Amino acid sequence: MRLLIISILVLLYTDTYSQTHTLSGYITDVSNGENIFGANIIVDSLSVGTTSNNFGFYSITLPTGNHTISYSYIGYSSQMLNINLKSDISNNIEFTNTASELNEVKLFGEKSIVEKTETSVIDLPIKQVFKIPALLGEVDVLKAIQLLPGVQSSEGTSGFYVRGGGPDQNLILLDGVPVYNAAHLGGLFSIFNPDAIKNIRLTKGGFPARFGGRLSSVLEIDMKEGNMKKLKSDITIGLISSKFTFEGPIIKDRTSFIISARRTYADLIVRPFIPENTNLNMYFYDLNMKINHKISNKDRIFLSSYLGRDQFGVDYEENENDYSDALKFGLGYGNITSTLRWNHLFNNKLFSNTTLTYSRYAFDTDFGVNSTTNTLTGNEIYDIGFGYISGIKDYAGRIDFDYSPNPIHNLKFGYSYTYHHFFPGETSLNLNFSTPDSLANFTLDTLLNFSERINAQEMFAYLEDNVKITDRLKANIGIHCGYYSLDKFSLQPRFSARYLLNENASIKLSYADMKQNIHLLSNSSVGFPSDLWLPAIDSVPSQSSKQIAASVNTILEGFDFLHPILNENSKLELSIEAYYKTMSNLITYKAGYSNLESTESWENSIETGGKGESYGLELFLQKKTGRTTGWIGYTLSWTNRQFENINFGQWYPYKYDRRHDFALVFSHKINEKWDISTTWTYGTGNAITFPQAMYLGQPYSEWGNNNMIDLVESYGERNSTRLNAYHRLDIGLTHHKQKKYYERIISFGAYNAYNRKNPFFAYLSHDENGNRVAKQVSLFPIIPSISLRYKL
Amino acid sequence: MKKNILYIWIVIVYFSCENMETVVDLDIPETPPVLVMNGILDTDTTIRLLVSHSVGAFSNEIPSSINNAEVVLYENDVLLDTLNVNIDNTISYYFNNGPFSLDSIPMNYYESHIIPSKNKNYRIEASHPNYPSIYANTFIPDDIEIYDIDIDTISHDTQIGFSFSFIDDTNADNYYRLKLFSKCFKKWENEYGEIETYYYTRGYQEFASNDPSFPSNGIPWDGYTFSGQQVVFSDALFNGQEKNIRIDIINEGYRYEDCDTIGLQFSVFSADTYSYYNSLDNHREKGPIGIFGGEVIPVYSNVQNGLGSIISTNAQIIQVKP
Repeated sequence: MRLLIISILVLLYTDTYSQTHTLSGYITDVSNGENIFGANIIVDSLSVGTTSNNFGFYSITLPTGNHTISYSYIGYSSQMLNINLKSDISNNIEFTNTASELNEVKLFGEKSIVEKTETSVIDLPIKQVFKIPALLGEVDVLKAIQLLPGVQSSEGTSGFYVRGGGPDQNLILLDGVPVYNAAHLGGLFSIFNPDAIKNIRLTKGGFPARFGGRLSSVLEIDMKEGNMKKLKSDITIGLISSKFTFEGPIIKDRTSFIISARRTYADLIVRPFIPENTNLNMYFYDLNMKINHKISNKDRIFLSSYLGRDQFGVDYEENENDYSDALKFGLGYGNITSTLRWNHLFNNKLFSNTTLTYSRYAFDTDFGVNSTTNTLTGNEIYDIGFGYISGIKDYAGRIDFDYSPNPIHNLKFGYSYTYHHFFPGETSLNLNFSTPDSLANFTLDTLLNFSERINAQEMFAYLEDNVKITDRLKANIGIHCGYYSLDKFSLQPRFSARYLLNENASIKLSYADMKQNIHLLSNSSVGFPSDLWLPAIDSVPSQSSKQIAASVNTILEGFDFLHPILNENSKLELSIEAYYKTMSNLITYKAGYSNLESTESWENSIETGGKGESYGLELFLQKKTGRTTGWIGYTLSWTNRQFENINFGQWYPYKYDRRHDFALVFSHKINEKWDISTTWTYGTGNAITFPQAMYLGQPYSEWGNNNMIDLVESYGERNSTRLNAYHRLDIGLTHHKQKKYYERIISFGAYNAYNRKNPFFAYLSHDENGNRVAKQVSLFPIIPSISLRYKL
Repeated sequence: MKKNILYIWIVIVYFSCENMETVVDLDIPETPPVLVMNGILDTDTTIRLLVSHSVGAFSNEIPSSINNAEVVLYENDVLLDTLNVNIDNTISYYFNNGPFSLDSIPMNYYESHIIPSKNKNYRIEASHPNYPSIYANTFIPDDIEIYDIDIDTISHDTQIGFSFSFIDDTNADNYYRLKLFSKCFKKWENEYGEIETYYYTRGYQEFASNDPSFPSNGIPWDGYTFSGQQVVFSDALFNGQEKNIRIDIINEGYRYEDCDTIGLQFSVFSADTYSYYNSLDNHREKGPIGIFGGEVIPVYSNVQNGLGSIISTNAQIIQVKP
């Protein structure tokens, strides 16, 4: 560790250039003033470059003299700047969106996949997400993520599993705030309204030191900031939901806002078919809001918030002359997140981002019965109420610094503090029996805690240096120092390096040590909103992982034979990446446990000390620009688990162990009016524990019959059977029409276009002839969709 | 054109409404048939057990009794006896073979004249030319002395409480099972002058308890953490200590004076037996895997190279009444 710090300091202050000056500024979109994250700033003559950070800020220090600087970003026209650098210069750049996607844009110096030091990182353009055909026409960010290599998913759900990790091992950040349940309708849709989203970035390995707290992935989703130039609106009417987005300047080029809302209306559609004495609530909604203000060229503040909830409820009433009955059932869950952020530029080399965040996830259910009977002696009233709530609440503060002292180094360092409040299951019970005979009256109002509320504090400090060692070799070296109040300190080294083979190819290597201080107790069959987030404690220690990854990255050009489809100057990015990951202190529910049924405290319901390993090979071939875009992703992987009390202590395949996973995502702009898109996915069937033999058990007596015997199922090893393979074709067709004041977009789609009956789960049963057979339950047949969108 | 679109739409909607449960071929690991051995050794009766064979999960064959196996009994590793099939006594056992389908299967016991003894290890081996040989071990624990038996009929109007104590053996991991059986009834003369009998209970009786050693399966607002017709528990929380057990009969109308028979069956088990009963209860309760059910719980088997269970018990009856 000491050696690492000394090395960094030595490297930091080794000035390879006699006199240097700094060029810095913000990069924004000229049409709306939005900051652009990840734009490339390259000085080819010196073989140096940088990228804009999450807030569009860049800083590059160069020797005195003349330089040609190129600024580029996918989908935007590149810009060249000839500059005679004699002193520090601030230069803000406004990018212009390319007028037409029909023409492939030659992006000068755009070699991101080859040049970037980071490994296992995929940036997903939100425009691409909109092109992917969607279930019921609901464009979904997480469903798009599921199509990336190294990401596994379950039929119909928006949950995802990265490189053999569990669903809890993904850190999902919405504007920097952790989101604990990103699912609507039990997982059919994600909570992210794509209309309000600007950037999506998934990191699967080689985690930079600034990230911590999860083992398997970091999914960063940044909300739009709001149009600084003019008022815009976007309205979509879909089969199951409608949404709108308004954004615009409050003070032009200084203060802007965005508000985006979505609500489903299944309950409104079925309302005419429901009896008058019954009221049905069945919907979810999302509300995204953000306001940002440029105080000066050095200071900017943002305030953003997300509010979303799923609600299901039934109220029933029956009234007669001599009695009345009322029944109420409600189930709801949702997230609230808020972020207050302050960007400050100390000088043209040092940028800071200070963030205060709040995140809350809660699941609640209630049930009530009220019955009143009129008797000769008076009213008999029975009133029963039952309520349950569980969840997690975080308050956090964080400060991040971005420091570019010279062309060799780019330092990031910072500190984060989070206060967690866990409430893992609290049940209230109210009973009130009232009769004319007061002796028989009974009242109970009590709170039952199966598990105690727990508070925990988590903090970390980090330092990472993106260092250029030679013209070909660049590395990101970092250390993440964590502290957890219920455990202890941890040091997590991080490292990634890139070596340029030539201007079109590179190899990369990364290592990441990660620790996770919270657990998600999730039923092993399917994820529920009632799944519990819980802190690591002495008897259930923090999870940890070590991951090593290596990749070859290249840009492929000159596919002349594909010109009719791809146009000229077609470029394809190809990466082939191998990884090996080990995990320890994993948890899982004890065999047979269902969190919907048990009243056991969570500590008594789980197996602890589990180990995991995952390894595989990922191929990712992507075309980002032009009239044809999309990617091919393929993953060959193995994922295993081991718990002392499961499968007799032997290793067994994890449920989401998939030998092969393939996704083809293809979008093509036929002409100015029509787009077509399609996705095809294939995955090896999930591993399940399924009966392999039947035998006779011990005789017993039942209902007075002493000669009963059970036909018992023998299951063999855990997860030793495979469900059938999963494959699905989705097709989308979009029609654009530019009217005088607005653009109208009609999208047609078919989910599961060839009506494949994909496995959700399977069980042993009997057919109509009494033969034992395997029955498979599928969720979604072919589902057509249509949606109408207006962009003003 | 519009008509065509309408037709396409109707076809799509038709497919959308299809039944999404289908019979499929699953590629399960190949599992050749093995010998299955089941028996309970107890200190009150001679040894007898059943030998059958397993069938594949999708086989239409029903597992059947095997009457020509060679079955031998060892006590503390000393060959004690060879068990013979009692061909003269064929018993039809009933089993559920699918929904609403009760089939029967004829079976014959392998029998020995030996009554097993407490504090002894037993091994049973079975071999047959068509199957791999199998064996199973079990241990019969020592007697447990019960004392301080108390019947509480006055604490509550509508329930009876029972309590008793025993001392757990420090030197062993012990496992226990408690069952309560009774015959309670009331007679009265009806309007025709006939004597009618109403039975509150006949057979095993439901009881409840808050004992921390019992599994938690009760409904919290009932005031009990456990309820059921039998409880299987371990000495993990009281190893080597005096243990007092208290159970309550919560059946409304169950009165001590209405019962002519009340007995507590208290058994001490080996670990194998505990694992078997525990897994059997959980397996029956949870059923097969389902969307909400979590992972399935297999029934415990201690038969090596085969399936089934050879378990043992040292049981005693505490005759509460008469």
